Amino acid sequence: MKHLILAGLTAVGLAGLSATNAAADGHAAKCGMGTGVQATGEPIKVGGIHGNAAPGDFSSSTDAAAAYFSCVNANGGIHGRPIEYLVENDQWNPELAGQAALKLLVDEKVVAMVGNGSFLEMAVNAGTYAEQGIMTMASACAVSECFESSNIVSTNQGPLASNIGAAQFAQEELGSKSVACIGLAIPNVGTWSCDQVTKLMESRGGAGHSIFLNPAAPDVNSALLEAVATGADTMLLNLPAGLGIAVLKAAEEQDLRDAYKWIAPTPLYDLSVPEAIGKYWDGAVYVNAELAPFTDGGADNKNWIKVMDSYAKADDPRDSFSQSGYLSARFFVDTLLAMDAADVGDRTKVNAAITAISGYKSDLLCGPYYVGKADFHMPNHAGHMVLIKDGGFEVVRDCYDYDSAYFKPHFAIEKELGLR
Amino acid sequence: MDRLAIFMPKTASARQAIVFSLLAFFVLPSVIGAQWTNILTSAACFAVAAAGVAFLYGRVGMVSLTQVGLMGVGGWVMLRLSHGTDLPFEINLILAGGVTMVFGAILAFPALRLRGLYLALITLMAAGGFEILFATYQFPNGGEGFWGVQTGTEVGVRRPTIATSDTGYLRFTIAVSIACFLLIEWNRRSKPGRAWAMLRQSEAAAMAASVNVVFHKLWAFALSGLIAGFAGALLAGSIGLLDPSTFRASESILLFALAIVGGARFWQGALIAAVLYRILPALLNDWGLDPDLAFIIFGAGLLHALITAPDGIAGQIFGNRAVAKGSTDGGLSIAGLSVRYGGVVALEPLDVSFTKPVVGIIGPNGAGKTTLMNAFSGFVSSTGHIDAGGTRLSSLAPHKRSQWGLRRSFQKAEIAEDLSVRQNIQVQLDGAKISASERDKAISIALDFVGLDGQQDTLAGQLSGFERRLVDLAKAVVGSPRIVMLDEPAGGLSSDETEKLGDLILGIHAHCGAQTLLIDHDVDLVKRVCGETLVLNFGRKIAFGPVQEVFTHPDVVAAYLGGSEK
Amino acid sequence: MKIDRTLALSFAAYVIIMALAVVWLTWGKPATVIGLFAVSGLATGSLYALGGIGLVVLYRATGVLNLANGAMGAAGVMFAWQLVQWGTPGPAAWAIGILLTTGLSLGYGRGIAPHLAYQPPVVKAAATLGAALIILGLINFFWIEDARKFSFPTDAIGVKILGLRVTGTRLIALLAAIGVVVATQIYLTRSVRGLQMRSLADNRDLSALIGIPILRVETLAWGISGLLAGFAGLMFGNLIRLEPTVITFMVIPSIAAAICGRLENLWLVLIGGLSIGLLESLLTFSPLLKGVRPMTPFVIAALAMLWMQRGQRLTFAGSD
Repeated sequence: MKHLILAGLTAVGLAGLSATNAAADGHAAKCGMGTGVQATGEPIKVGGIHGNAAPGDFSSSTDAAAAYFSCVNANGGIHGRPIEYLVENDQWNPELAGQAALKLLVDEKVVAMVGNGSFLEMAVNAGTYAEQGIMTMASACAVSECFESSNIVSTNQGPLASNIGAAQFAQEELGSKSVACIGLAIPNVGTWSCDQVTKLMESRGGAGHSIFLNPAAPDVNSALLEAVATGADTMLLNLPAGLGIAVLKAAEEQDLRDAYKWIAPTPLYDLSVPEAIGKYWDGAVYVNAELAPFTDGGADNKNWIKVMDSYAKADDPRDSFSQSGYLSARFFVDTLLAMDAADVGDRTKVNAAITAISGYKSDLLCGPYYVGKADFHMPNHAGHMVLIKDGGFEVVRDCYDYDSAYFKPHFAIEKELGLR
Repeated sequence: MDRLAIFMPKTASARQAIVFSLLAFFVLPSVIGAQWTNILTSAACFAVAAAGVAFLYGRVGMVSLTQVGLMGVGGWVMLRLSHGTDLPFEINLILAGGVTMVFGAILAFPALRLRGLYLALITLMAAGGFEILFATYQFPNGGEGFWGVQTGTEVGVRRPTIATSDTGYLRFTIAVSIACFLLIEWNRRSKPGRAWAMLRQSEAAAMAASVNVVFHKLWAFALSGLIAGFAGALLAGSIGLLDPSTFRASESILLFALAIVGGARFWQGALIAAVLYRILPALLNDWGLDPDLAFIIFGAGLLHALITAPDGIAGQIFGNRAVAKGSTDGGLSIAGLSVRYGGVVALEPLDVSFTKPVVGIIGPNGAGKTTLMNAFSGFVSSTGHIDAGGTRLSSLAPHKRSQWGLRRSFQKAEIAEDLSVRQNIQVQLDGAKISASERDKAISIALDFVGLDGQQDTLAGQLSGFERRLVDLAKAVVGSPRIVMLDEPAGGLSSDETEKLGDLILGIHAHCGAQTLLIDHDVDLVKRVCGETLVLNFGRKIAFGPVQEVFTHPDVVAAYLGGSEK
Repeated sequence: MKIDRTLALSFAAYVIIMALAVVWLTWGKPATVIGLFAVSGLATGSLYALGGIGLVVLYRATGVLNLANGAMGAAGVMFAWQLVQWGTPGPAAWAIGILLTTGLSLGYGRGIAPHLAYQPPVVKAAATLGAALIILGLINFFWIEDARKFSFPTDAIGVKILGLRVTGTRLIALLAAIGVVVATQIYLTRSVRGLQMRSLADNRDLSALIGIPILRVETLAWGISGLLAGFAGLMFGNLIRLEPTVITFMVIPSIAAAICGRLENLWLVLIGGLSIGLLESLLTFSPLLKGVRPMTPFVIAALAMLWMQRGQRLTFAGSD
């Protein structure tokens, strides 16, 4: 029944989208060497970890990566060798997350980790990756450890960058002077990201306030009232989709739509959100999209849809994390293909090549993708803004760079690599 | 010397424990991969925690729904000490256990005033509180200050210098776990264990027997807390950092539920709980099955255990298999049984078949109940037949009937006052052709069944009235009885004691397979425990059938309300 | 006379403590802001009370504290949501959702509860946890995590109370909580079945002996509590959020409200629930305790329980 329901939803939500894309250019999905010949050589083992259990499903990044790898394998693989993609589920449990990494890295001896999407896996395993000499190419990160450690690089932006992007847009284009950031009372997620929003607003002569919501609290009304009491003119919903919707609903009860500007980071950029929040919010909620909007006509965006349609299950979601997983997988395959065919099974050499990635481009990203040696990695810090409108999303600002003191060290590295 | 002696393997259970421990310590860690090393470390931590909550429930009769919350306290202290001081892991472990022990003891204060459901609920409230505290203040991860939370750092906890590798740490965890199990076992077998056993039965009796109720309740909770603290601290050492989601109130409830599923009165029960809690989900994950399945399995397991197996899976596997179960398979049927004393008809010809595990025999004074029992025992001469499980009982000599498996308790508990509890029960088996070790095991099982395992060496003369009843009951169920006849066992007991006794009677069939014939005046007790009831009046059967029907039978109502007979 | 004095003492203690807490928390804050938070808190409190009332109605009649109350409600509201998605008209979907919850409750009451009839209350409660796990597992299996919303037409209408707009749905939840308390009280005191329920709660064996049809009365109690759980589930799905795990574990603060009424007095459950909600909301004013606001139900329940048990001494095992 779960799968039936999902299949139904996907069919309704995406039939139009993918059909028009497929019709627009009749080519098949483009992957790897593009030979159209199934790879049969000795498999290259690659690992991925996602978190799928209550309270959230982060599996769409590994689903997309798996789809792309299948496509690569059907197109000559890596110099004739197929990729064997081993995916583990951490079930939002730190113990399982640690065990999954050990299983993949020590027991299975994978050469790389690609497409990871989890709320806590990165915090648990950052040390393990460093020890094992793995440069993890994650796709769906939320916690600070994912962006502030030596051996993880993520394609997505995470709460910090996406929130800065949303607040910056509100300050520049909506005239916001004071932003109330309603976030989770979790230090390496809510506090970490809301603090930077306050710093951004203060650097621009405005003000920022942080209101923290305990994830276990049934009542979101008090948090909303607390935000109202700060006297802010803009409400930033730095929350997972479910809680974000609950806050919007409480605000609807108070008819607060027109009293404030409403902005949110990427979690609300999800096809089911416009319907879930209803007509009341039509044209009133601005959401930051950390990757290209789903309807964007770029080559990679179209290829992503095609790869998903041909190689993923019909009920695998097509969301930002899916785009991100696809992109991590593509960059990984490009890196392997650029290596000597004899070295692609060698963990040390593969991870050295990943670390050396610099200046990879995609229409899904606003800026270049790079890895490099540092104690922090956040190549993706430019995005789009969309507006919830007519049951969907309308792009209101295309690619723009986020401007915050937080990114100073990142900019320095980019200069060094000649990307800026 | 006595203290050392208890560690000598006397029973099969102890031998199994030693073999298992050696296997777990020496063999397992060297044959499994990195993933399973970690899974087993985690499982060992939770086995310890489960043992803590299980002994509290199984031995002291108190429910704690905050064990995982207490583990969080232990883990928190371990992380804080590891990041904030240079003390070695072993010292931190002891300190973490100590601090958690204090928290456990604080929880015992409500337990002085509350019991049963209310006590369970107050511990549940504590678990809810811990969940919010951990979610709000988080676990230290290497940052500065008292809370030590800093984003972006991933400093793991120091491990013991003798066990820095994953395999070494698994061995270390197993060793500490074994020590925790032994600590519980030692407590159970010495003075605290005896006090708990009495507390579980009747606090009034315990107080009367000069047991310090306050101290022993406090100690039980403190011990359970200490063990939870060790478990939490060990878990912190395994993962390197902790996450609030591990210590939710729902996890505490789940661990308690699994401890019951495993079997709260067996050391293997805690292991089974840990296997279900940590190894089963990992297996489901490995097999690619939906993790939601684990919830469904846990739920079904819990219902199954509570309804059919009060001693859990461990009880079903390790409970009393070694002793052959007696039974009356084939039924117990009475045909034309009658007893005459001279010209007086004490029991008119009786035809009846008993099929239920517990059968009640009731009737006003002088109705012929005891006469019927005497006929069963062969103490009076009777005509007619008694057939049980394919044996014609009525043709056997009285002592042969006893050897066959017919047991009986008398209205006044018949125990020898200058023998110890154990010796009193041993008398029952002296005639049986079994080895000394089998006999000792059977006695231990029977003592455990009635809850006198802590008092086996007490002289029977020092026992309370209720305890004497329990000894009597233990005599009736020891070995392989097939029919257990209880003659007014609830006479002179308080209503609470009667309730306890009722629980035990209900458990006889599951315990040893025997069919119970219960004579009693206590209608509530009969209604509660008997599947069918025979009503006698003036030596005649006036009704027989399911309890509810029998009590609404007009003749029965008339006999009991003093109406004239038709 | 003695009982009256105890009651008066408890009541006085409650009023003084609440007044002190409220004054301490709101000292120096503008009245309009206090009003906002007070009304918001009472709205949440009425949900705790609603959950608690359903638990107590069942506990009184059967001795079962149903930890699966939330899970059963979650199943009902998820199914109702699914029906609306499939195009079923709202009222029909809500009714079917409530009926599903009632069915689950009756199924447990008839199929499983009788096997545990003579177990102590804590074992009965633990068994319902088994049902909760199974139901939650099934819900998570059928419906993956996704952003969902469950709405009623009454969400759109509302009145301003002390500056806070209170929607029709919230008012319905509060009025329903009060209504259920009044109706249950009348039912238990005036009707034959109600009398039988009270008798059953007092002494099961004796009730059987005097000819009360235990099975029928218990079935009725499971049915009523199922209806209440179904209704509470719809309310939680609308007013808290449509997440099965959150709704399932709403049972824990609901138990806190139930404890305030000593698992028997529905009026006290209502007052307890509302007080918890009020304090939880007003704690937002305390910079120190703001972060741990969700602990309010647990702390209040623990204090209430210790207060009620003051001076008691345990003697014999068995009776709780």
